[in-house]
Amino acid sequence: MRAIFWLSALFVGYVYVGYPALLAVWARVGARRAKGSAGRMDPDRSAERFARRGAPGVTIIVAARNEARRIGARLHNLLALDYPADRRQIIVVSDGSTDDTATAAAAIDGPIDVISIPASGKAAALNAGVAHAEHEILVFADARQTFAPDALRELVAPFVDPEVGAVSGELLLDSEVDRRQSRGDRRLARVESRESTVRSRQSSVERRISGIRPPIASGIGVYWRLEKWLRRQESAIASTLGATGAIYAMRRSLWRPLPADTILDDVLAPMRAVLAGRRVVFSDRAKAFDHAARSAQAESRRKVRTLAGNIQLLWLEPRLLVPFVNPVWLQFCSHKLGRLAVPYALVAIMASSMALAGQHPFYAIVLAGQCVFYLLAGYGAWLEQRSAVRLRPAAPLRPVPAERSWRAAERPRKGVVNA
Amino acid sequence: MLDRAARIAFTFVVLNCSAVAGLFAALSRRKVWD
Repeated sequence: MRAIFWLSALFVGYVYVGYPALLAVWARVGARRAKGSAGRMDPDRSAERFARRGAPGVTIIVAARNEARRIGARLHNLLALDYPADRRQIIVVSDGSTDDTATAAAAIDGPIDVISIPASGKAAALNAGVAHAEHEILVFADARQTFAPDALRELVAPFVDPEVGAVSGELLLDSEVDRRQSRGDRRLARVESRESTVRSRQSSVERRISGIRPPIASGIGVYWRLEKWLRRQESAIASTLGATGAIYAMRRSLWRPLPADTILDDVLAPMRAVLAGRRVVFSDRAKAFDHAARSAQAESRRKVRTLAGNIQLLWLEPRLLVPFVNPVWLQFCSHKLGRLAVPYALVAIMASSMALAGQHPFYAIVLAGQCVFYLLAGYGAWLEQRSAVRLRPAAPLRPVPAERSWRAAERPRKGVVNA
Repeated sequence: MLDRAARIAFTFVVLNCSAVAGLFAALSRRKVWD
């Protein structure tokens, strides 16, 4: 029983403390070594070389289903990005939309290709978009989020390094934007201010919803910041494990059509680039904006999807489990698989400390600590429920049913808080 | 302070319960997306 307790405790400790500490040291040592060699290119040098060479051709693919309400504002946002218009192609793939998504997209004045396909799922929509792409760099985006004006330029800059196969941008949740603004991050405040002009196109009801800050949002903000910190370190060492679905880019030469039932395109496609010997880097200069989940249920659905997607990855790409084939095997096991196994270790810690509590005061203290923690979580659940009741909008909202839209307000966002 | 700790603890529990649900969803091939 003691062995179960200590193995489980060490495992949870490794996933949440040991692995981040290992990454911090590894990234620091790696950065010092790279200074003396031609190794990792820093963002300023990438941007400089990018400016010298000129902007590469970019195809932005937006897969959408029943997004007529949002697609116009989204396309205006993409058209307004700071990037040469003649080096940019925008493709909207309407996947079996039953509303006016395709018509609304086609009505926007600008070089936008609209493709309509029968409802086949997001992976099939992306495959269709890539098949029509004219440029070497593919950028994937969703209908709901918005990009910062310089996001495309920053997202593409790291590709001057031929080792880089894919680039993930940074998704900022509204709670983070508030936090950074209150800390005086002026650059972000300026970006957010410009971005808010796009958001002003949203309906008043949507704006009212966006102003709601349920308790779960602040909790998610903490975990999302930890997740992005891990990605930053992993990127500095070798590669991040996947990308942020709301904003990522990859070389077209590395794209392989996705299986139709793929859950996490933003992890599978970049990890294939890693398996092909390229790096996937995280650029926190390329920013997209979104809001945090509106409720614990919404976040839970999102997480179920993300974690089911991580498991699906193992049978779609079993090579990820082979140490000498996957160059980021240790990171993959520690970060992705570790998170999947933590709940079972937590149950084992609870059960073993209950069994051992009578044998030694230490285990009784650990048991008491766990009880306090879960009571605290129960209090958090009560806060969540209370806020859900208090913040329920007066006017009845009629969101697009989840099964009809990829991006309805309460639904999972791929690649976010990836575990 | 207490409320913030409670929110973080609650989110931690939600994330871990979702991991278990995600495993079952994947094993049963239940549709979790579209």
